[in-house]
Amino acid sequence: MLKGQILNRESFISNLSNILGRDMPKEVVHPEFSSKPQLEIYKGYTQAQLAEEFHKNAQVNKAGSGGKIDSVIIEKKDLAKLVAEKLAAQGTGPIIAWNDKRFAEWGLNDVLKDAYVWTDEKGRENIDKALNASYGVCISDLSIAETASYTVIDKLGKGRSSNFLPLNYVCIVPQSTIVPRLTQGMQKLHEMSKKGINPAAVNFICGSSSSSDIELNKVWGVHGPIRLSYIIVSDL
Amino acid sequence: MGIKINDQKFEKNLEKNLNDDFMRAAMVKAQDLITKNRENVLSQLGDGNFREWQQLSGDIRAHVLENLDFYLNQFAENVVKNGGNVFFAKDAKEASEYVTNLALERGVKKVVKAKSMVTEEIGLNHALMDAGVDVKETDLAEYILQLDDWNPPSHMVVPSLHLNKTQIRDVFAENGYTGEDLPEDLAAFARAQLRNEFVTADMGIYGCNFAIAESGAITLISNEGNIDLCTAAPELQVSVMGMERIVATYEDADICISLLGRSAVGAKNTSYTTFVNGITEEGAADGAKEFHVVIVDNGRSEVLKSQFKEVLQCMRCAACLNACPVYRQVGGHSYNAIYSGPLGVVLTPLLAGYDDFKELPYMCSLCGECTEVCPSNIPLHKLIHEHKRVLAEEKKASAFWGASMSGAGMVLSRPWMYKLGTSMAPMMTKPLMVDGKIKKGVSVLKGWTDKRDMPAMEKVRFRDWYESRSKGEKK
Repeated sequence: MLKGQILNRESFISNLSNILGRDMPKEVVHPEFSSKPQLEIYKGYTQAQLAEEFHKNAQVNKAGSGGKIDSVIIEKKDLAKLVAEKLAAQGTGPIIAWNDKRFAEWGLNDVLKDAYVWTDEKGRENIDKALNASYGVCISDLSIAETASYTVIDKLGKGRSSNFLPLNYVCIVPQSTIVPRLTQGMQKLHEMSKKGINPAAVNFICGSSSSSDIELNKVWGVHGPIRLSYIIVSDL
Repeated sequence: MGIKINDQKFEKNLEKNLNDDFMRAAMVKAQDLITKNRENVLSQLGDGNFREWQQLSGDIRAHVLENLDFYLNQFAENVVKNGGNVFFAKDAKEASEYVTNLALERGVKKVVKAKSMVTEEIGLNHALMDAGVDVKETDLAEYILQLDDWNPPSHMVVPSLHLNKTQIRDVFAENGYTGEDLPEDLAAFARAQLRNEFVTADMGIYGCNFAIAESGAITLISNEGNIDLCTAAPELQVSVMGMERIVATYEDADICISLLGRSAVGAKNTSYTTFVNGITEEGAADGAKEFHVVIVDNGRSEVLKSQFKEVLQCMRCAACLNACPVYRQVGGHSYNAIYSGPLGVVLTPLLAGYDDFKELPYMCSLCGECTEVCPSNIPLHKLIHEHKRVLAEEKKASAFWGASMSGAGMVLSRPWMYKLGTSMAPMMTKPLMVDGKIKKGVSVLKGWTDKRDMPAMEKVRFRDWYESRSKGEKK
C-alpha cells in the first residue's frame, strides 16, 4: 500500500507560479468575507429551538420524499420503546449497529440484543452483514438544523458500509449535537484539522437515497437506505 | 470519450437534435422544474439575498485562482499527511495512464465509479476498459448510459435527460430486466444489479466537488449515495479533480456547498455531503487502505493566463444550462461536447480548441441569464461575447461571417446605400413569399424559416412611415 508519494509537483506548481507572475508565496492571507450571512441563520437559538427547527425541516424532507423520512422528538426515557418500534416498522429483519457503548448507557441493550455489532476485527464479515441488513442504527455526531442532516464522523466500530447499505435507517439525534447549519459543522472540522485531526470520512446525510435520473421522476433507495427515521432526544 | 462526443459536423448534429421531440420536451421540463425549485430554495437561504451569497462564493473562488499554486501545494501536503498520494497530471493522457497503470499494477479486475465530468474529459473509462478492467458506472444515469453503449451525457447533473423511460426499459431489458417502464421498478433493478458491485470492487473512482486545502479533504456531493459506497468498501480509491476545484478552507466550502445543491437541483442540500481525508484508520474493516488524488491540468493553466480565467471559478452546478434559452431549444448533445450550455460554450473551445468548436459561441443570444444565476459569479455572457470577438477579430474563423459584417458595415455607414437596401427589401424577398409570408428563406434566413414563418417586409419603410407620421400625415 503506497503512502505519501507526490509526483510531478515541482513542474506543475512552478508552471502555475509563472502564469501568476511570481514565485509561490510562503503564506497567503485569507481575505475577510465582505459579509457573513451564514452566521445569521438561527442565530441565538436555544438547543430546544434548534431541535424544533431540525424536526420541522425533517418534516419538509418527509413531504418531499413521499413519507420515506420521519422524525420525532422524545425524551430519553422513551428511547428504547421508540427504537424498538422503528426497528420493526418495515417488518422484522437483520439489524446492524455501531459498536458504541452509548447504546447500553441509554438502555438499548435489550432492543439491540439480536443486532450484529460492527466489529472491525472481523473484517469482511461486517460488510456482508451490512449488505443484508434490513435496518441500521446510528447516533448522530453532529446534527444540522437547517437541512435536518445527521453526521457520521468515521471511527473504528462504526463502519462506513453500515451507514449506506441497510434498507432502512434509524438515527438517534441527541439534542445537544444540533447546530444551526453546515457553517458550524465546517467550523468544527476546521478546529479538528487545526489540531491535526482529519477523520478519514465525515458524512452529512439528510435523506434517503434518491434520484431523478429517469424523466425527472423522483425515486428513492437507488443505492443507500430507502427509509430514514430520526429520533431526536431532547435530554441527551 | 474525451471532450468531443461525436465526429458529426456541427450543423448535422444540431439538425438531428432539433428533430428529437422527446429530448427537446425533456429539456423544457427540466428547466422549468429545476428553475422553480431553485428560486424557491434560494429565497429561503438566510434572508433570501442570493446576490450576497453569489458575491461571496465568487470572491472565494477568485481568491483561490489568484493563489492556485499555493493552495494546490498545501492541499497535496495535507493529502500526504492523511496517508494519501498525489499525482499532478499535465494532460488527459498522463492522468488516465496514471490511473490505468495503478489499476494494472494492483491487479484490479473491477472498478466502481461515481459520476465525474473530469473523468469523462480524460477518457478514463475507455482507457481502463482497453486495459481489460471492468468498469461499473454507479450513478443511475451514468449506469443507464453505460448500458446504452456509452451514450454520451446531455446534462451535467442529469446526464440521461435525453432518454425516455421506455428507451431506458429497453436498454435494461437487454441486460435481464423483465418489468415495465416504471421509474421505481427501473431504479430498483439498478439497485439490485449494483449493490453487490460496490462490495466486490477492487477499486473506487470518484471526482471531487471541492478539495479543501487546509485539510487535504475531498468533498463529494450526491443524492444517490453511490459515491459514498464507492468510498466505503474498495480498498484502493482514486479521486480525480480538475486543478481548479479547490477552496482554501472548510469555511469557504460552507458557502460553496450552500449554493451548489440549491443551484444544481433546487434542493436545500443533497442527501449526502461527504468529506474524505485519505486512508482509513488502522484496523478498520472498510474504507480506503490506499488513496490517490489525481490533479488534472489538461489546458486549464492556459485558461488561467487568459482573459477567460473566471470560467475556472465554475462549480459544475449546471444552473447556467437550466437558465439558457438556447440550451432549452437544442439540448445538451447539440454542443457536441461533454460540457454543454453556457459553461460549455465558454469552456469547450478553451480546452479543446476553436477548430472543432468555433460555432459554439454563436449558440448564445447574450441574454445574460446564465450570469444572473451563476453561483460562482462568473460573467458567462461576457466571456461568450469575448469568444465571439476573438473569433471575429483574431481567428478570422468564418470568411462568410467576416464578409457579411464588412458588407453590413459598408451599408450601415452610407445612408444612401442603407436607404436603397431597405427600399429594395420587399422586392428582393418577394420570390421567397408564400401566402403573404416568407416561408422558404435562403442562407441565414433559412435557419429561421425552417422553424417558423417570417412576416413579409412592409412596402413602406419604418423611417418613412415615422417621418410622415411626425409631420401629421397619419395614414
